[in-house]
Amino acid sequence: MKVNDAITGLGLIIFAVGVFYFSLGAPTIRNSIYGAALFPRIIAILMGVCGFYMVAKEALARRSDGKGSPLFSVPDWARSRWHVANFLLIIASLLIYILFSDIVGFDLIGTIILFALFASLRKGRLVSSFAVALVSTCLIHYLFGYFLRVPLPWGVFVNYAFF
Amino acid sequence: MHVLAQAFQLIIDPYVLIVMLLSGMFGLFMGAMPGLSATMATALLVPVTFFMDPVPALASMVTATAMAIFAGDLPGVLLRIPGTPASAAYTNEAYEMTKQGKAELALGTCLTASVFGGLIGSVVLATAAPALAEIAIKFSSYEFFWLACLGLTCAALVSTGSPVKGVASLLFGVFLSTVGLDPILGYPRFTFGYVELMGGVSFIPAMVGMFAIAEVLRSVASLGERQEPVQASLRNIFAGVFPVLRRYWVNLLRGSAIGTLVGALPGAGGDIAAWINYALSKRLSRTPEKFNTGHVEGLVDASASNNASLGGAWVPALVFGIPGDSITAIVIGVLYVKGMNPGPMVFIERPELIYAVFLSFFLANLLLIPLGYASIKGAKRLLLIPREILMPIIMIFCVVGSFAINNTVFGVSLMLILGLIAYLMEENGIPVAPAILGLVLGGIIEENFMSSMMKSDGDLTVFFSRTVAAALGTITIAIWFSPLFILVKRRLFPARRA
Repeated sequence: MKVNDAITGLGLIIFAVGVFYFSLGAPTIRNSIYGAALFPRIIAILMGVCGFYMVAKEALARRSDGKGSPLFSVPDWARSRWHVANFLLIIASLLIYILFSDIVGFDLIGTIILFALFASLRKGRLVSSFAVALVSTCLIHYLFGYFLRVPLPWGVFVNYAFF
Repeated sequence: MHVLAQAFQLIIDPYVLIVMLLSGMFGLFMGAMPGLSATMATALLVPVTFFMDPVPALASMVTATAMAIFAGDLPGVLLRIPGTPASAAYTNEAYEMTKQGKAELALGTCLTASVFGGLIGSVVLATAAPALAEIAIKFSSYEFFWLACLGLTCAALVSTGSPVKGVASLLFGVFLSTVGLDPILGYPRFTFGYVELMGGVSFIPAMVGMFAIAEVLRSVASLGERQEPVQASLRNIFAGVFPVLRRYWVNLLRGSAIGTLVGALPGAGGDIAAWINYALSKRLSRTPEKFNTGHVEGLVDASASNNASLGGAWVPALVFGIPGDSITAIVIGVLYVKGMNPGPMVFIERPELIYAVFLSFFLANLLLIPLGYASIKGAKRLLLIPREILMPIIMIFCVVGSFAINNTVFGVSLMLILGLIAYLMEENGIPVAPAILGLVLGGIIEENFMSSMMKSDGDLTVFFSRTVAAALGTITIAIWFSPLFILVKRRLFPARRA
């Protein structure tokens, strides 16, 4: 989603104000004005300057040629339900992994996520999608779990864990 | 000569050579996978090296890291997803080359420049280690502060599009580095009560999220809509490379030299070296307007500096036991375990082992040619895999890589949040790469600034009190104000019309 630079600038200003606000109350080094709030405040001020610059530049552009870029513009792909669904599916897959991987286990959740993505992106081909999802997940678990000792969760298969 | 002969005999042992070969393949895999890194590769080799003699143990680490640093270029060139932070400086440029059908030239240049830079770093390590260490050890917090500022400045300079947006991205990265416990006072900042955030924003999930996940989202959004020129064949990766290197031989030498020097500075590493060299290449180029359009010149500097910095990083590690980067921090531990306590005495007590390590550097960088070539040929198969299959699998690799940092799903959460932010940033013309460097350097800048202030009781003039610090500071400030100087100069001395 593309927004006008003035909106981006406004966003930077709000972010800068937030950073400055949340750095209040930080302690300083004894007998010094420098402390934990120094760098956040410098960042906030500079970010605010960048934000003001972007807002001002966009305002000047609108004044000089009478029209600027639109406030919000939706990319072409967002008009396609299939593309939107796939985009949201990626985000949903990661959220589901974060929420359920410890309980369900990497193998099961990885297979489900990959199967859903393959089936959606390939518009069907369910059997091959499932096969590739299953093999990929198991291979990745074996590679990382056995050779690289990454403790990916076994979840429901914990009683069958062999490494 | 006798010592050198002994060292040579230690290295050409078939066991050592096999260990180097296997470590090289391991390093290539670790470097090419987004989410894994050269540092991780070194760390994973430590338990394996417990059972080895000193020479094969150290040779394996040298080889793995040399391969991993180069291998980070592979996904960067082919998929716009840097495998290691050191490759992030020129990923966009390299991917532009791939879109123009010049992936062979990009990869061949990265490989050859890496080999050259690595060999230069090895020569410097072998011949000038004590002398370089003397210079490096004189760097204090003031010099490090300016060096890190210079690195940040370079990142803003080379960013695509609007400089203001580049600076905003940089500031966002520096902000991320302030999340967690303050380095001097231990005060929790921007943690909002979350224990996981007290450790700060981990670098690997941030990089994976901002580059890889954002790229996955972009690919999925554009599936079926545009036909990207897929370079399905990588026939002769060396075709055209030698004329490039002949044309940019100065860049090659400069990248190697600066990479070695920056690598020799404790705490600095290939990441900073690559950015500085890429920015310098653009600044000194006769055709700076070609940068960011798929121009090979910047790749020569930055690729050479990446591998050169590896050799440089061993200088303070061997001579003083002070790590030059995160990789040598791990290696120092291995040196102690093997009874090769770093310091000047190791050159006297066990010189044959030290020279064997130097020789392993040479051999590892030469081994990079066949192994790098084979990995490039293998990587081309990535391009044959349909994106509908490739992108979800890359996503899962990213999930595992982000999880593996602290073995918690918090890394995956970070990856997702920063991936979404990076996607929106790039949609609005805000480059992502400066944010990554801001995250890397922000902590270094703050820590060195605050410790300098503590040492000097708040006196800011100390940042110009030492010669090297004053020089670095002057250069950095001059770069900051150069756009203003140029503007004033143009107003005062307008160019004559033809």
